[in-house]
Amino acid sequence: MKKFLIGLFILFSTMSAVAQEESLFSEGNRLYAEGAFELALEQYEKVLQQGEASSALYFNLGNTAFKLDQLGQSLRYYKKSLKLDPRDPELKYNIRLLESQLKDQITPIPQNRLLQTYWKFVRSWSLDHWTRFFLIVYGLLFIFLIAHLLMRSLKKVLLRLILVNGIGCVVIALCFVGSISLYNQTNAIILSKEVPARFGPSETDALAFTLHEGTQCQLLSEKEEWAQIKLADGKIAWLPKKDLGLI
Amino acid sequence: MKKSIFYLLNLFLFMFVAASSAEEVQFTASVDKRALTTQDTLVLSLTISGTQKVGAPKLPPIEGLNLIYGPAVSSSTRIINGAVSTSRVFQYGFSPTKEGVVIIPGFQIGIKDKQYKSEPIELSVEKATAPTKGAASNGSAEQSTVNISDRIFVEFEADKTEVVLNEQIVLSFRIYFNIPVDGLNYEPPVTQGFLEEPLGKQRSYRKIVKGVEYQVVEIQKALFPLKAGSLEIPAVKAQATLLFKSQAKKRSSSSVDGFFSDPFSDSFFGKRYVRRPVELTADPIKIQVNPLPEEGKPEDFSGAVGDFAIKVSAQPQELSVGDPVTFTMTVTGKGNLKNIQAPTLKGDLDKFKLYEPESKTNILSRQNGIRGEKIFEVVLVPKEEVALTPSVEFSYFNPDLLEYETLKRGPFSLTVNPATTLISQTTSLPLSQKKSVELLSQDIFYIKTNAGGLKPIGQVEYKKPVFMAGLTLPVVFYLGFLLWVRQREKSLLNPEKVRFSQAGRIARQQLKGAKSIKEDKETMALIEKALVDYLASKTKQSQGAINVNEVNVLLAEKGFSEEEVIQIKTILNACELARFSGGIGQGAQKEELIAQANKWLDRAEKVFK
Repeated sequence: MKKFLIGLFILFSTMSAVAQEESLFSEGNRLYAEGAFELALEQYEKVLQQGEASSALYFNLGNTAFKLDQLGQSLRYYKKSLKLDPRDPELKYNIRLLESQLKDQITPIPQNRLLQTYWKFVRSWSLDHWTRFFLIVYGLLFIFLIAHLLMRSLKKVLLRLILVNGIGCVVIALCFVGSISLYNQTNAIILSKEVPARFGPSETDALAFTLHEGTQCQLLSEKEEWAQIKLADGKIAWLPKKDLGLI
Repeated sequence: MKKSIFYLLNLFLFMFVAASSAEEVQFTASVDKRALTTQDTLVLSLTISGTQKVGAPKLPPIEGLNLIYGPAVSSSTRIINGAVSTSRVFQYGFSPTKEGVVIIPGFQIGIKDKQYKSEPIELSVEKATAPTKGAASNGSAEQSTVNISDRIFVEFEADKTEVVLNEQIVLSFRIYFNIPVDGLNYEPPVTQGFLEEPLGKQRSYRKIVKGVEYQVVEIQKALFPLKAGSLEIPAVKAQATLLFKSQAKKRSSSSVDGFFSDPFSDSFFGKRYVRRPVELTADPIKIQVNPLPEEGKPEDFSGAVGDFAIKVSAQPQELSVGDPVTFTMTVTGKGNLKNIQAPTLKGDLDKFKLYEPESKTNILSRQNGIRGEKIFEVVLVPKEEVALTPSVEFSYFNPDLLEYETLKRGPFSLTVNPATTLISQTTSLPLSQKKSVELLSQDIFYIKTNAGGLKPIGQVEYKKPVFMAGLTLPVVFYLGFLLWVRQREKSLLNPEKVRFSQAGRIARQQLKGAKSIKEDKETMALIEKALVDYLASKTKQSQGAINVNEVNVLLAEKGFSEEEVIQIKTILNACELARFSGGIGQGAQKEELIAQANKWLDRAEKVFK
């Protein structure tokens, strides 16, 4: 009885927590609609502080930051949203719009066409999607395998199904692994208007180039207040951490 | 492919260098012969063993000997019983200029802060005996007359050796030669602390030095120092293969000069040319880089060093409030254009909305230093009616005059009309030069109204236990089924076993069937058959082999108790009796018999396990 009561209590408290975050979210939406973007941002960030997030929340944060003229921050939230839901057309449109306004034009290192298609395909679904696809195909493969053991009369048909399903399983596993590696890659976005990138982690190191707000880079390592980054074109430099926002 | 081989080679070399670091360094000088004639060629080999990180030693002029080629460099690595020995050999060719005793002095070389000295060598030179076949026996009369350093040499210089930070330095490397050369190979210096810019392609021209005409190949490069202090541009090396005319058509075996053992005579060119590789080294250059003076530094100075001019234009000059005006500022001149920051705007900046400048660099000339232009475009949007644009200021340091200079342009007049249309919210988008006007009507999509599945940040499904279960469960299921199927197949292969294990079930079914039959005789026969079949299956015998009279013996063997044996015998006898006498089995008796048979089967199943 006691256990049941505690269980019930936990259930209710989590439900009320979710309800509280939902209300923060809709409060943010209301403020956004009224044009009070700073206050809306506060509400949305409160949800983040509770440790909860969703693609829609990051989308709204991106919109609010954009309205507040924080291009870098906005792009950062959009990219976070994209990670959770890479198939949202509105989100993709907003990102394209923002990226057309970036100062730095970085030409990525040309990649093999096959690899390009692969990454494009991997990026078109989120990690959770790939996880589910993989589990489905994987489970199906074993169902067929078990059926193959038990149904002698259908052996030939099942063998073909196993072959096709096995190939599918390998392909999806490759995408799944790719998606995990993308997920674990730490990317960052430049938040300050203009940042000098240096050859080493101190103010005394020579200037390599300057980067502008919204430019995306990959985080390689960190040292005290400095972060080593890599741009899509392969350039490597050090930036102060405070000018960067992790995606 | 080439690159990878190069890396591999480097790795290989590196391994040996690493391995040989413990080896003792030795420096020796040797000649191919001690006694020679004035027409012979003397080969001097300077061998440095124990290291390969060493350049060619400097040869002082040697009295009585004329340098005709060299150094030809060769490296070797030997592994004997696991011990690695490396060496580097520099070979020089000399021709004697006088008769008598010639002494090659000892040479000095510094390796890793230590000085090494070779032993002096004494030679005796005799006058040449009459050549056997008219021409000089070594086939290179031309070769012995002129010193090699007069035929090919290098020059490496910087146009300035004392500069300020970010000032342009033009590095020139020139190879002078007046002898046929087959391959020229130049290794550019690897500089540190400089930003490098190539200066055009290599140039080739003719020049007269001390009355001698030379062919000159010149390579230039612009450097911009990135830090103050004393910087060094490392030594530059060039390799060339010289072609000497050879008159000898066929060499006689009697000519005992170094030519036969000469590894550099080319069999293909052998008839007309002799190939002599040389390595030329130019000294490193020291550059003193001074920091920019603090005195007189303008506030908006952003690091431009050089000689610059500025041109500014604003378009359009007539517009409405909220419309953009583009400021084009072109900085032209000599210097590091890539590092130049946008000129500063001054004036009533509050009256404008300013966007970040965009820039484009055009290099106009790479002759004797970089000259070019950098075009900055800034978009301004007047917030109200204004008459003047902001003015433009650009400060730079002129290293020739050693002072800061500030260029000013503007302000320009501007006609701003009141806003004609309502400024929509979309104009708060930063205007980009890249975009056309129609993009002004674009805005981001509106926020999402549904929070859409909030979940803990960083939670991903593949890290959840459910995923692990999803991965392992199918395997476990599959293995379970596999085991089960295997087991079943095994037993299917053994029909006796199947009969044994299924006997109880079949017997009960038969008894059930017997119950529903009305004809007593048949019922009894079925009961008997069920029991006999059961016993046959369990004892692994054929049904005909079971003799009702001998059942007691059979069962006693299997470990049945006496009571059980009597029981089955009673049932079987009753059946038998009924079958033959007929009519005895009445409804009640029949059912009791079936119940007894069932009960006995229960006990038997336990015994036969």
